[in-house]
Amino acid sequence: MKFLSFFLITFFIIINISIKLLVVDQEAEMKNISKEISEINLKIEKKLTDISYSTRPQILEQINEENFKFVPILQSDIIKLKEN
Amino acid sequence: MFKSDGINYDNVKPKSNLLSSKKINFHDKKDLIKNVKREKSIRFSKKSNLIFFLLCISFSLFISFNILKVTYKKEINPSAVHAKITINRGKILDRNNEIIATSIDTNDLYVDIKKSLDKEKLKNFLSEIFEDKESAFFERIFNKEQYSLVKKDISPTELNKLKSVGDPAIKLHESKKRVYPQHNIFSNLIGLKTNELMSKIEKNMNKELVEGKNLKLTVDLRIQNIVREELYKSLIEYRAKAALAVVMNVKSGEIFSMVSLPDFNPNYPKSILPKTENNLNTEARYEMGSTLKIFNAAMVYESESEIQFNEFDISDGYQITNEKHILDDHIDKKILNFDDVFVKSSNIGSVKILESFGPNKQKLFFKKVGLTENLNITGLKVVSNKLPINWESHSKFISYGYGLSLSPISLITAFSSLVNGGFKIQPSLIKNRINKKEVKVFSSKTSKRINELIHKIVMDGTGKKAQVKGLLIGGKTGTSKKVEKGNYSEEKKITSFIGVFPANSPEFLTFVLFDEPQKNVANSKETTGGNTAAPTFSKIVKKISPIITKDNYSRN
Repeated sequence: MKFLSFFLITFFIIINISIKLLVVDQEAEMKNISKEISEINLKIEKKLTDISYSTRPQILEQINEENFKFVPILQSDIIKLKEN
Repeated sequence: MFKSDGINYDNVKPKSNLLSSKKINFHDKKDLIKNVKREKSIRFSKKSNLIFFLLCISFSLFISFNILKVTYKKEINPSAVHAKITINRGKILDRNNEIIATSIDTNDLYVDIKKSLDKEKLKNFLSEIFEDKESAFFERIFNKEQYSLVKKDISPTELNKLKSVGDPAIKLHESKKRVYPQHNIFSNLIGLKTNELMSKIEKNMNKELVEGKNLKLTVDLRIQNIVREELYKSLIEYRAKAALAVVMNVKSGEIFSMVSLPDFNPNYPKSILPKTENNLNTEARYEMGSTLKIFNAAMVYESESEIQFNEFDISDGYQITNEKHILDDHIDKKILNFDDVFVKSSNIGSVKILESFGPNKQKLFFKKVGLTENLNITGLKVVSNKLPINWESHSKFISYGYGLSLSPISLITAFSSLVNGGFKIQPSLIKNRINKKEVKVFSSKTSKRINELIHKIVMDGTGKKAQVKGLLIGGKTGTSKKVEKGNYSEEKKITSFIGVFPANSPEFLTFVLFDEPQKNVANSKETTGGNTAAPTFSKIVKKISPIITKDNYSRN
């Protein structure tokens, strides 16, 4: 009986410590993943900000003037389309 | 040799522990007493073992529970972990999710002089990299021999140069910086946020932004840019002191664009001047002039007064007070019908219409449209309208737009009710917080007749230059003299145009105002709303209508 008790206690403690370690490990992994995600998110944010900077209307107008010379669609153009 | 009951125990060896036990006494031959005692002892042992076993189980369960409890006590919430790491100030976005304001990671540069390998060399490097800093600044830092801040938010180029220096004294601290990718476009609406300063939406919505919540506005970058661009061109052309414009949905109250010039670049707070800081649409008040006359027409239509069939003689002018005599010099006709009063923008006609109602009805009407109340718009600071202390003595002046100062947003809100079928609206700048409570303040009939009248003003009257090819426009011009040293100035004027499109069933309103324009498109002596604000309105609407009109507005 004493042996059984000793065995059971040891067994329980080992199991619990294992679970605990597993959980701690998973938790750490989750934190790492979260950190990675947030780092990626920050990079995305930075890229989005860069895109916003480089595609702001003044820059687009400048590119248009230099390379394409597109003209804005006006209300009168829409009427012409409908007529056609 | 021991013999018992015919069984030979010759080879049986008694247990040594029993033999060595002091408690065992062999008193009787058959060992009965001993057996009884042993049985008792075994029973006791069994019981105690069972209790011990149960205690052990309980203990191990207790330990298990505690270990696991320690583990699971902290609820693992990945988003909470994530938030802890990356909690940034929320972004401000336009209605199509274009970034207006966001926070980025930057570095602050510190130097720990004591750790420097070669102070002179480091000082020279830093002076070269940061040319804008004076040499005295570096002298002071290096003489102190302390841990000192050199520059906040260093640029990527500066960072690369610093890395090439390779001195242990260089310390970089991570920090956040608020940036505004659209530069000036939304400056007077959004304001700015630095370590020291905070203004406008950045300030008014700070509570939500610091929690990391993104703020989606009703404004549209494309429309805002067009409005700002056209307004800026006109501001230069007319040599005006300031200008403002608003584009709003007259049914929902959503503000698509709000521009106030001059403006500033929020990325460079040091360049902000006091005159560029205010959002004139909400933080300034003006005597609006003739744009207010349209409320007289609404008053007549709503009461179905017979005066709308009268004719008005304006040939002799009108004596309002002993000192004030008004004339309508700009009108050739001397007898006007009701519509002509508004189409030609007659001050005398407006006063005569008011006379038939009296000041009390006028005041009640202004209350009904919300011009006497304070307007609250989430995210914006709105100044209250300046009403006359004695309404009665000012009512005739009010009939043609003097005597009370209104914030442009307040005029736009009231005007929307006139054209949208008679519903009172609440302007909104934050998306998904639109007040959909519908309160009807006018009949649909009144609204329809107002729309017909303002269309006539644009087709035949003072607002001709507001016309847009392919679009029905309705609107009212406004010109008022500014008060200078207690008197109305003949030179300094406020010119404006408030218009809606399409005029047969208005959906969008555009308001344009210039403060002290010196020139006009017609090169005429007289600078009016008709030759300054109306053409600018036309240029704006020509460009924004293909974007804003529902059929073409797929990105909503």
